[in-house]
Amino acid sequence: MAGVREQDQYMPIANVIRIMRRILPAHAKISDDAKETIQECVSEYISFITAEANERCQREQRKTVTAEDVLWAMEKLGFDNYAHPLSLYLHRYRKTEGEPASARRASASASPSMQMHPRTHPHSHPPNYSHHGFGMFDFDPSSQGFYRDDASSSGSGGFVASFDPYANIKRDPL
Amino acid sequence: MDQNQHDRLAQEAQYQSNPMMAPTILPTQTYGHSLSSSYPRLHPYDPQAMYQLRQEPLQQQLTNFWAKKRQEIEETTSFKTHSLPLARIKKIMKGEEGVRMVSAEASVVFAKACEMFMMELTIRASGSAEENQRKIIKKCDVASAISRTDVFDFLVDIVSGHNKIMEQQGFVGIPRIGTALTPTENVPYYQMPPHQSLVPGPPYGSSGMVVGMPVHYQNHPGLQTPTMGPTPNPQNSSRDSDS
Repeated sequence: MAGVREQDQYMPIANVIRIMRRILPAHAKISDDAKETIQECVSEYISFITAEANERCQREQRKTVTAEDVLWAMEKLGFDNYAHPLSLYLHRYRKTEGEPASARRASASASPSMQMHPRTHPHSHPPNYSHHGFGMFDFDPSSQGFYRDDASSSGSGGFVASFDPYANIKRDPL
Repeated sequence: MDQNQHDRLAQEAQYQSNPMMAPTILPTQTYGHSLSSSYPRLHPYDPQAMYQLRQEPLQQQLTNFWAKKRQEIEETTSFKTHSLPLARIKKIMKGEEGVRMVSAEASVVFAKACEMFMMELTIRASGSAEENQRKIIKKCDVASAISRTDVFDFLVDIVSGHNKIMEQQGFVGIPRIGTALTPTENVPYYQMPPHQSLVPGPPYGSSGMVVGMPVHYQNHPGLQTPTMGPTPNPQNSSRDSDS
């Protein structure tokens, strides 16, 4: 973990508290150490799943960890009840995100990276959020080929995409 | 303290069966549930409805939770808003050794996954707080929820590393397999077999008891320093010398 700052290892505590409260009744109270513990657990969860997803990625000699890798890792590690609704979520995400990108492309008013910007939650941004810039959300060129991975991996048969959201992006450089 | 520990262990044994039941219940099977169908669709997190939900056993709460989660995903209209910052997720993912590049969709999926993860952990922790008749969820409730759920094994180090409450109650160090195999409340887990402190004395008496003893000492140097007083041993010694 060299180079990773302490404050960047965890989710913002405000987001953690908000999500916890959404599932609890109004009169419930959460101690500070419980909030911090769940904050640490979330980071551990991300690392745990990512490590497994990356192993499959490397076995297939790919450089980019994809959403399919993440869902595959969740099923393998026992989080089946997460992977199933999330595959639906991913499917609907691709359907709805592809069209607005096309519309925005016509007007040429915004870059694709704007799609990922969580504009409606400004208060949830970490203090150093501006340092990252939009580069963090640029699409990786190698990720354009990850639909080919679908064909090669039998485990992700359920993720056949009927619409390629990156098609519009490919057209622009030409 | 022992009584509390035994009660907690009994509760643990009781909850050990829950994770086994959970995977076999499909979230879709609960769509016909009257309680689930009576929920107002526009307010999936109505506090009153959630409070009513909490009156049910933990397993039922979780089943309904997954059903509501799936329904919420089906009704999602905007994918531009995420409850967790994607940049932070990406940074944590890249912190894992060997990870080189992360697709944007992977971060989006993780944002939703972490939300579900935190909610499930919170539901289980609040169940633990209720068992102890507390309205405040503490760290030990989170630790208890983790210890009772198999898929959360990878989190054991996080809660056991700096959880004094759990250490005081003696939960740290108890192997989960052992707990599952020996649910009997009356058996103390740290009982040690009693040690017999009998030390066998030397078979020979004092050198002053028998005139011929010096001859034996020359043959058995290890027995030259007997410290026993007058004992029946001289008789044995005499018999040995006679034969």
